[in-house]
Formats: sequence, C-alpha cells, structure tokens
Amino acid sequence: MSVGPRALLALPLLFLAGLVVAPLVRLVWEGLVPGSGAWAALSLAGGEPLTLWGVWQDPHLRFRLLWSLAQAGISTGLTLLLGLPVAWVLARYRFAGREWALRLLMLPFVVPTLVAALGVLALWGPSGVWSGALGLSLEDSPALLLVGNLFFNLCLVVRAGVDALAQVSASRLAAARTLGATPWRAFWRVEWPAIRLPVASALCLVFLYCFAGMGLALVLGGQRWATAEVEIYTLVAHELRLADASVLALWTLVLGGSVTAVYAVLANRLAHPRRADGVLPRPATRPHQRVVVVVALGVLGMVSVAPLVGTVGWALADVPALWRVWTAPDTLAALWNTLRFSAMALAVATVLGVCQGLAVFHWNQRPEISRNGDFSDSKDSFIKKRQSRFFLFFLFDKLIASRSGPPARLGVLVRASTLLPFVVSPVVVAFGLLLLYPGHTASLWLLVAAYALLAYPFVGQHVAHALDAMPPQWQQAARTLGASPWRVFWRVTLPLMVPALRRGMAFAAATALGEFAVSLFLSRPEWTTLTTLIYQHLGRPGADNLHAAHALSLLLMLLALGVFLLLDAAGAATVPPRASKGPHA
Amino acid sequence: MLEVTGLCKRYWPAPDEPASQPSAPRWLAHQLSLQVAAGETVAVLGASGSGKSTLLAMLAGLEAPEAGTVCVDGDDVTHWPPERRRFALMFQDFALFPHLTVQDNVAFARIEQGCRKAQARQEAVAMLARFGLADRALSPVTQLSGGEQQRVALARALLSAPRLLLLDEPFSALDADLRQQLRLDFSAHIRSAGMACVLVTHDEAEARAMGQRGYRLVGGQLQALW
Repeated sequence: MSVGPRALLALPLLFLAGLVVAPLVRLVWEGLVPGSGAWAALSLAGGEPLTLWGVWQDPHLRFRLLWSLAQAGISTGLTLLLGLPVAWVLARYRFAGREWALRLLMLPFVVPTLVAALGVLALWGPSGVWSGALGLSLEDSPALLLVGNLFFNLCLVVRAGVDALAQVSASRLAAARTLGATPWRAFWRVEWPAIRLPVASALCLVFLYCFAGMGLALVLGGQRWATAEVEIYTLVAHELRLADASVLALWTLVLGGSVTAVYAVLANRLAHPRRADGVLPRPATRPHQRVVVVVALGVLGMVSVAPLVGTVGWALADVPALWRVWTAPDTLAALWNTLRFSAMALAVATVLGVCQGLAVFHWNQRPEISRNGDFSDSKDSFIKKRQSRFFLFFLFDKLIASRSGPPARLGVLVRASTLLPFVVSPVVVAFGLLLLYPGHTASLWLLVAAYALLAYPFVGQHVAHALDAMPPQWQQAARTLGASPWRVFWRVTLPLMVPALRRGMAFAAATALGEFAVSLFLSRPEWTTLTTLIYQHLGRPGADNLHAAHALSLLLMLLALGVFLLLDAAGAATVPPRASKGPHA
Repeated sequence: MLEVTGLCKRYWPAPDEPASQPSAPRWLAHQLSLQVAAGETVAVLGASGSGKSTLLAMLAGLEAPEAGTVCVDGDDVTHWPPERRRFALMFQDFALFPHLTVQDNVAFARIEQGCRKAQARQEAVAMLARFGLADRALSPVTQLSGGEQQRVALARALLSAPRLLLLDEPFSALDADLRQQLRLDFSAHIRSAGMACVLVTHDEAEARAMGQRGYRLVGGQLQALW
C-alpha cells in the first residue's frame, strides 16, 4: 500500500481510537474493575456498588434489561407482520404513486427521533387525535414505545422486502405457478425461501435499533417503560451512579453485540450477485389487487406518515402561538446552536468520511489485483461488492471468507471500523466520552467531535459504496488515455463520486440536526439545541409547553425535510446502505 | 513497431475458489513473444480465461509481467506507467465516462496531452464527424445506442494518436448485423490511421475479418493460425 492511502486512513482511525475505542475500553474497565474513577463518584452518591452479575439480581435493573429485550423483540415481530405484506404489494404491483411510496420509505431515515416521538404523542398521547377519537389512551402503556418503534422500522423492513422480492427469479416463480401452485403456495415455496435471509437480517437491524435507541424510549416510555439506555442516562445524569451505569452499559454492549453476531452470520450468507431475471411489478388492474394496494398504502400511511401529519396538525392548531415559539429568543438560540453544531460536525464528518472512503477503497483494491494479476479476475468479487444488498453483508462476507492474506483481511477490518459508531449506541459512546474525558465534557470540540463521530460513517459508507460500484475500466481507460493517477482521480473518480458524497452528507446532516443523546450528555445549558429544547418543554407541565414542543418539532422537521429534498435532488431514490441508520438517538 | 519478448504471467487461484478449479498456478503468458508492425492488425484468439485480456492489460501497462519486455519503436516501455506509453485500449464495455458528453469523452486524451479544452473539443467534433456522430457531440454518452457508443470509443482512442491500439473483444456487446458492419468500418479507420493494432477475441470470423495475422493463445503461448 502506498503512503497516500495510509495517510488518508490515519485521520479517521485516530478519530475512532480517541472517540470510540478508548471510551469503550474505559467503560469496560469501569464496569469490571472496582476502585477505578467512577467508583469514587459512587461514594458521593452513596449505595453499594453493583457487580457484573448484580444487575440481574437488582429487580429494577433486571426489568430494564428484560424490557429492553422484550420491546425490541415485540417491535421486530410487528414490523415483520406488517412490513412483509406491504413489501410484497409494493414489489409485485405497479400503480400510480408507487415511486412516491418507495421514496416515502426513506422518510424515517431522515426524520429526527424526537419529531417521531412527538408525532406519536400527537396521535396516541394524553390529548392525542386518535386516542381522543377512540377513547383509548396509550399514555403510560408500553404500546406508545412500540408504535414509535414501528414508525422508524417498518420502512426498513418494507424496503428490505421490496429489494429482496425484486430479486426472486421470475422463471422459478412462473414454473411454480405452471406446476399448480396457487399464488400463496408460490409465495410460501418459492418467494419466501428466497427472501427469508435478507428479511431476517433486516429484522436483526430492527432489533438492534429498538434495543439501543434512546430518544423514543425516553419520551414515549416514560419512567415506567424506560429501557436500559434511558436507565443509563438516568443513572449518570440524575443519580450520579456512574459505576452502576457502567455495568449496565456493559450488558447492553454484550446483548447488542450478540445480535450483531447473528446479523454477521446471516450477512455472510447473503452476498450473492443480483439476479438478471427478477420479477417485474405488474399493473394492479383487478378490484382485489386495487384493494390490497390501498390497504398496504393505508398501513404505511398510518404507521409512517400519520405521526408526522399529527405533529404538523398540533403545531398549526394555534398559528400565533407557533409564531411566538419560533421567534422566542431561546428558540432562535437553539436553532443557531443546532445549525452551527451540525455545520461544524458536517465539515468534520465530510473530511473524515472522504478520507476513510478513499483509503478503504485503495486498501481493499490492491491485494486482489496484485494477487491474480488481472482486473478481470477480481470481477466476481467486484460484482459481490456492487450487488451486496446491505453494506454490512459485504463486510462480514469478506471478513469471514477472505483468505487471501493479511493485507486483504486488514482492509476489510479497516472498512469494518467505519461501522463502529453504528454498532455502539450513542448513549454508550457519550457515556464513555464522559468517563474518559471528564475535564472536557462541556467543551465544544468534544461535542462537535461526538456529533461528527455519529455522522461521518454515512459519508464514508456512501463514498466507499460509490467507489466499489465504479467499474475499474473507467480508471483504466483514463490511464491508457494519458491521465496520471491524480488526473484520473480529478477527472473521473471525483466527478462520479460527487452524487454519493452529497447523499452521504445529506444523511450526515440529518443525523447531526436530530442528534439528541449526545447533546443530553455533553452539552452546556447555553448550548441547548432544538432537540434538547423540545425535551425541556416536554418535561414541563401544561398545554402551552406541549404545543411549544410540537411547534419546535415542526421546525426541526422542516430542517430535516430540507435535507430530504437535498437527497432527492441527488437522485437518491435508492435506500441508503442498510446499516447506515444507527440506533435512533 | 511493437516487439514483445519472453512475456510471463501466472494466474494464482484464490484459496477460496471452488474445488473444481485447479489449485496450482496457471500460465496466462509463458515466454510469449509477438511483433506487430505499424499499420498491421494482429488478432489473438482464445477461450475464456486463457489470458487474452491479461495480455492486453500487460501491453497497456495496467498489469506488470513477471518477466519479459515490451518495446515499441525501440523504447523499452515494460516499466512505464500506462499514461506514458500512449497505447489506447478499447474495452469490451467501451468504458465511456458517464459524467462527460460525447465530445468530452473523445477529447479526454487531448486534454491530458496539454491541449486547450476548446481546441480539444473542436478536434473531437471533427473526429466524430468522421464516424457520422457530429450531431451527437453534446449528448450524454448514456443516451447513445451500443453501436454509437462503440464508435465513440474508437474515436476517443484514435484522437489520442496512440502508438498502438489494443482492442479487447470490441464487438462482443453488439448484435450480429451491427458487428459485421462495424468490423469493416473499424478496419478502414485503423488502416487509414496507420497504427499497429492488437485485437483479442474469441470469435474467429471477427479475427479473420480484421487481422492480417492470427494467433491462438493456449497455455500462455501463441500458436500461429494464419
């Protein structure tokens, strides 16, 4: 490997080492070794220190962990039950507005967590539209959190299902029908076996997101149905029981890591080239076909659109009050903080992401070429990369399957390192930073760095994905036409990389705009952002505060929508790499 | 004049390749020698995986041979980078740059040679006119048919005034009628440009139609056919 890619890689690796690896090591140390720094804080708060297994003997903490697992499991099951039929309808039928419906599936990827939470409250909260109409309040029930989880994750399963169903062999399906299979039997015997692995891996991601998310659980779960992530925040911010929080964080890491391992095993079996004879959607012309299309769109609308409409409705119910909230000094200050933190984080994330994307591409490329001495010999690997349905699939596939020597495996490890911020929840990252850098917890650089940490993998992944998908012939052709490597980068690689870069930056910006968990842990009072301001209003009594929260939520949603439109302008009708949405902070 | 002497290159199967593949390295080029005079087209036939594309990649400088030399007009270019050799390689899938217009694709090499963009574009349009594509100069390449893309790729290669033209199965992506028509068209253009040309293909009819001499690549060595 030449010096250039090494230098490019040094920056993101140092960043990861300082902001993820070192805090995690510190966190594990705190959890496992009594007498370290956090135990001293414990003595201030009083109480007995927890052992590693003590979590399971403490009824309160045991419930938090078990509830975290249960709500994630139930949400995963619900997304499968609702998402698979909707995916089938979207994959198999063509109808007016289908493209819009497919684009709509990206909406939860850019909507901030708190906006979704407010949307769910607008429908099902104490004075919610639907709870009022049905006389059924979900307040203080676990259902609120489940509905919030569905909002975010239904689209992920539907999108994975649509992609997987599009890959089912049309000829095999036709053969099954001509051999006497009814549509249902054909689904069960031909389609389901073909899609179950991608769907299962999407469900693993749903489970991880539900298990490790904090924002929804904090707002919708309340005290009674708080998850382990919320409990960690409570232990740190309100009870100063850092040692107990460390042990709990360790267990969330272990449990989340186990699901990640299952995901890795599934991913290893999924990297296959795209089928050329995939099933094309047919027009929904018969009445029953139209009915199922309407029902599918209805489900999608109720779960993923209605909460957003609900929050808009709440905010616009009193326009003068909305305007007062929007123009209040604390809102303007929060808006300014949100924008400047996001802009700074985006700048850092772009530099880091581009460096990482370019470096891992070069690193990964070299062993294959030098070993076989032929670009065409690496074609299969190239196709695998390009056709990987999920970005993580490719990574784990390469990691496990690669036996072509240390450099190749190292390249895969380097690439996998990009995903560390996705695997570790924002709460754990923020808590680890708090433990490792106690003297800098209210410093701007740490806050921006933490924002950038959560945002830059989007840029890195999109850039690396675009480079993977770029046929090597383009660069080769440019070289044979007289362009030096630098000129090839400038005239061919960079222009072709720009759309993916824009897309990655848009996702990174959306992440930074809606960031919540890190802001709660590392922010100063005067650094209130829109998300933390919404949370402050939610914590105060009275209808005015609830309305103010909705008004701020609308403002945040408009900002996010701007990012969504930016995405759309970049021509990103495709879903981002599947692992690209980290746990909802 | 191209002179290739004693070129060697092996293919090393990856350990995770299917068991049906031979595990020992296989010669893609073994003491391979070849001479091509200016204005001459030499065709190299071979089965899939025989090493035809690797041979072209070694000539173009995209792959380093394990042994042997590649000389052109007396210069030993074996260790020269691709951009310094001035060998134009035409790919099976044309490898046109999708972010550039037709004229900018054709002008690509001239700009790399230091020509001003406006001048390079003028030359590109003139070259396109020779291929009957002047009216498509400002079109995105993605809007061209397969045959048009093929001609743009050749125009791009010819405008770079290469010392050697390398054609990697140039007509494999086209239908039979178009393939036959373009063979004649290409042969005429290459002859008029007076450059040495190496064509690799698995289609013997194509090889005979275009090549003054023909070889078959077997076990890394060239066997003369005509």
